[in-house]
Amino acid sequence: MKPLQRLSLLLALWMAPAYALQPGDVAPDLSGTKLDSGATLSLSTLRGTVVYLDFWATWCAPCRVSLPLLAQLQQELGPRGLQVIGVNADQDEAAVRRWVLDSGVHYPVLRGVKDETLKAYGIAAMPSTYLIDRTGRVRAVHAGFRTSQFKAVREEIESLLGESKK
Amino acid sequence: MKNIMQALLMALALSGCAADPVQPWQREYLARPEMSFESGYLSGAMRTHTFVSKEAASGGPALAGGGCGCN
Repeated sequence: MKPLQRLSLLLALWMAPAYALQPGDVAPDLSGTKLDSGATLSLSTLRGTVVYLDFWATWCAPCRVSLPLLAQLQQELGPRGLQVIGVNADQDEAAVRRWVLDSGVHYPVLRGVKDETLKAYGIAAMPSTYLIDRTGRVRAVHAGFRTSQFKAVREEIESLLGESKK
Repeated sequence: MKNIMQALLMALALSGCAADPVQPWQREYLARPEMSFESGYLSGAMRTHTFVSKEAASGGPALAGGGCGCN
């Protein structure tokens, strides 16, 4: 290979976009500290449940809109096997506690998740949500949050809840 | 040929400056109102509205480069 070709190849590889998690991929394990109790929770312990993993922050307006809706979703679909997990990215823990309290969130909110783990998910925007089936595979990825699309998200979740653990 | 090689090497070296961009979950400080180019929210919103209508395009200032990058 000529030097110029080699250099071009190197440049092309250098500029290749970072890998982002796609539907069908196995969800990387993720663990963090629960905001309410301080206990550690790992995603791997939730195998067998449908997990709606929500990466959010208080400084992100659409994230704040989504919180009460996700709390309601957990309340309604939790008995059928849904577990909503919030992964928070704020520096200010007091602000997080305020928002969680005001939004009526009772599902686990994790903090202190490692940057490497967040990068492994390939988060493109805040909020980003990953719908994970009972076998631990990512089935849907959503960047951003719009209330108009929430009905479709709920239908995706209900469809996964109807699947058995393979 | 030598010039091309030098230019490519320089491009490679400079691209290293942007190799670790601010990730979406790291934009807490960038999302603060005081980090905005506009001194006032309303005047900024008006200016953006005018710009969008004249340019027939939307998005930009609060998306990929800065702000919270939401939606």
